[in-house]
Amino acid sequence: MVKKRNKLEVIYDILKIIMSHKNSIKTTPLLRQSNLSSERFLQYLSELLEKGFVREIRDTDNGKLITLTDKGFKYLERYRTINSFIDEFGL
Amino acid sequence: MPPGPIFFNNYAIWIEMIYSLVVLLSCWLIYARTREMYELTSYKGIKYFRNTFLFFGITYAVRFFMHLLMTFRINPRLFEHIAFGIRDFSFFIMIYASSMAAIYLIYSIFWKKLEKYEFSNVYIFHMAAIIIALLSLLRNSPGIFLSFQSLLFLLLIIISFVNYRKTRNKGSFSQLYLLYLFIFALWIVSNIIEFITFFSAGTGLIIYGISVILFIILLVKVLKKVKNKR
Repeated sequence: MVKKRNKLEVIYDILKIIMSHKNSIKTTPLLRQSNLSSERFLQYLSELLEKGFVREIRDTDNGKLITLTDKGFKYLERYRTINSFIDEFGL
Repeated sequence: MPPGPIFFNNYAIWIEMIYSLVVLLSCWLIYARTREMYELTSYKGIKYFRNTFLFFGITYAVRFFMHLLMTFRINPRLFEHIAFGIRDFSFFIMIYASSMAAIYLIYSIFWKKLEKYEFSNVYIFHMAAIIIALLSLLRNSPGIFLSFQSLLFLLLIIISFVNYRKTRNKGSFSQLYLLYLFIFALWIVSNIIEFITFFSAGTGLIIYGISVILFIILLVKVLKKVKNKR
């Protein structure tokens, strides 16, 4: 049975997908690759926008692209340390 | 020969002050160095863990301040008039903050289980800590808060034991639980020394020494973990 991802893992996965697409991806492929329901994906996306991990930009054909902010990169960089801290201290 | 200033004669208070100051600094460093992790994740476990050391820090800051007040009392009569209110207020803050530190420590390792039952209202804990502090102050009885904190200690032992039984086969039992238990036990013993009974200076020194070492071990573990691995 596949283990359910926790919130920190889901955020990590979403940010990683964006980074692996040269830091800009449209919403639809991001939704598809994040393995979340539309409803949960939209909740996560709005939280990520609100907390400043990602931002929306307009591309040339007026579509919406999602890109990482500095804070988003910082999260990716620190994710393993944070995870190992949580495990180590039983949090 | 005229007597020297009172603070040079009172070694016990100096030992207390150094002990409080070292623990205070350790708590402050743990709180400060985990700030970035919390700001990035807003993870509740990290929040409660940080709050443990925030409240422990407040406790030891007040404890340090109380001893400072005792050390530098030049005129005992003046001290009595001015300092009684401050002493009572400090006593209240110390009991409240140390109870909250203990509660947050337990909550940091137990919050996921409680959240399942939608029990996540920390205001109840604050209320309990305030009531215990008020009762101890009004009845002038350190025994009340020591009994409350001993109950929390018992709860921590039970949680640690349950966790040990669950994880012993996986080999993933966190040895930090033992560290928490020792820190908590020594905190209670140090309060017994402070408020209830008199131990010899040597015994007090050993207990404070061990507490300081445990706090420093915890601090080193935190600093090692939060160090950026690139």
